[in-house]
Amino acid sequence: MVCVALTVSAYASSLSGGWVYEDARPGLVPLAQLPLSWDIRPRWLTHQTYAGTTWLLNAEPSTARAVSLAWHLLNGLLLWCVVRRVVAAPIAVLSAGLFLLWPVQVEAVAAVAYRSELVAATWLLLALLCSSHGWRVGAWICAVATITGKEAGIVALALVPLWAYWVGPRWTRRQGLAWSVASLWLGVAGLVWAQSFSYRLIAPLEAITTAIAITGQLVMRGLWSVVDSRVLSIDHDWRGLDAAIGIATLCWATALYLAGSIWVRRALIWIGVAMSLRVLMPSAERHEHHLYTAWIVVCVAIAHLMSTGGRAWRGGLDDGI
Amino acid sequence: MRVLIGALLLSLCAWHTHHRAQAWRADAALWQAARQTSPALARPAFNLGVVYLRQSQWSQATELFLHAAQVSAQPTAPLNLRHEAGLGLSFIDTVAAPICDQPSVSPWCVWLSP
Repeated sequence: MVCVALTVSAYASSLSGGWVYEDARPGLVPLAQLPLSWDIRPRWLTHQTYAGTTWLLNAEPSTARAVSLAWHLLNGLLLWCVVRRVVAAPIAVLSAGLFLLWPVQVEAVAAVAYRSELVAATWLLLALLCSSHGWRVGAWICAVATITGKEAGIVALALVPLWAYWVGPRWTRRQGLAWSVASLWLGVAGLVWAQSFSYRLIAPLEAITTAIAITGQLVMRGLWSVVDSRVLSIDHDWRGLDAAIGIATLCWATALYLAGSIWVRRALIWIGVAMSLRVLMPSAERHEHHLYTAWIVVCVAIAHLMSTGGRAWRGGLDDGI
Repeated sequence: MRVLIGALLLSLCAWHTHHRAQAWRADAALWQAARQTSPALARPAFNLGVVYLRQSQWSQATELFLHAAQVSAQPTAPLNLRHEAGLGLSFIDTVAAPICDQPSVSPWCVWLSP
């Protein structure tokens, strides 16, 4: 309850603002005027949340911002539900608190246009919750539903089995095969679907390596934002980052993986998988709101580090349970 | 002790989130903050120019549009900056050109396309 109160008070200053940047971009239909529709397109559910807010409440920006904040609080609650089964209760509370309050999350929460991140994360967290209860069909349906929040949410199909592999309950070989076949089938269908919206899919190798450098910088700024929020910006200057820095980033990540505790390792892998599409896709930009899903396990890792102190850096397998 | 450190970290997060959230109240604050973090980028300059344009601050708007156009037009500029170039230039041509007779704008009009 303290975390929820702190989150509401921290975001209170943004609630009274108007539409900002992509919330009401010239040439596009304003978010508050999107119609309720059953025409399934990319980000369908996200668009329905805008339409539903206007239909149920009003088209004021303060209302839309309050809905986004409520959605963020819901995600914090879901994260607590997911992690309390695998870590000690204080670590679960701290993880959820950090997820709700970390400054890098502001872009995804305060900007109404980036609610797609919140909606996709909700489905992912529901999928993790289903998986931890052993409801694998429900987990698969929720993982697929992340697409209705944001198309890049499809990485949930990889994140859910990863989470199950880490914290259980472990899947049988047959269950893993069924998940893989269903996901592969969906992946092929998704590729065909993406082509119909003219998405370019894979970037050249040098661009991918540069994207790794940018993602690394973005994560570092996200971490440092708790010390100085002025490192955050709606648009970062990535000039000077190249493939060589991308390789250096991979080397640092590997060193951190080898030196880190089990949750630090998990956080690194989680970031890699969660950001994989953003690294691979040639036309993708990289902004702070793209870290929203990646921050789920980062917050658990930080909370775990704080609870275990120095032991966490010896590469032990202490889960803090 | 760990509880205290945890509470301190959460308080620190809340403080910086509060400050960052203030920047998201309006376009002006958002893009001014972005200009401070990344002064060389085209997009913050362009969007802050739009804010000034709405406030009828022509000279500041034109200066920012020109900066955006110059940065974006560089051949070495990353791809994610270039797509603002067309917008910036068209704004200068369509918005600044008709008001070139105004003293506050006229110094910038030498940059406009003939």
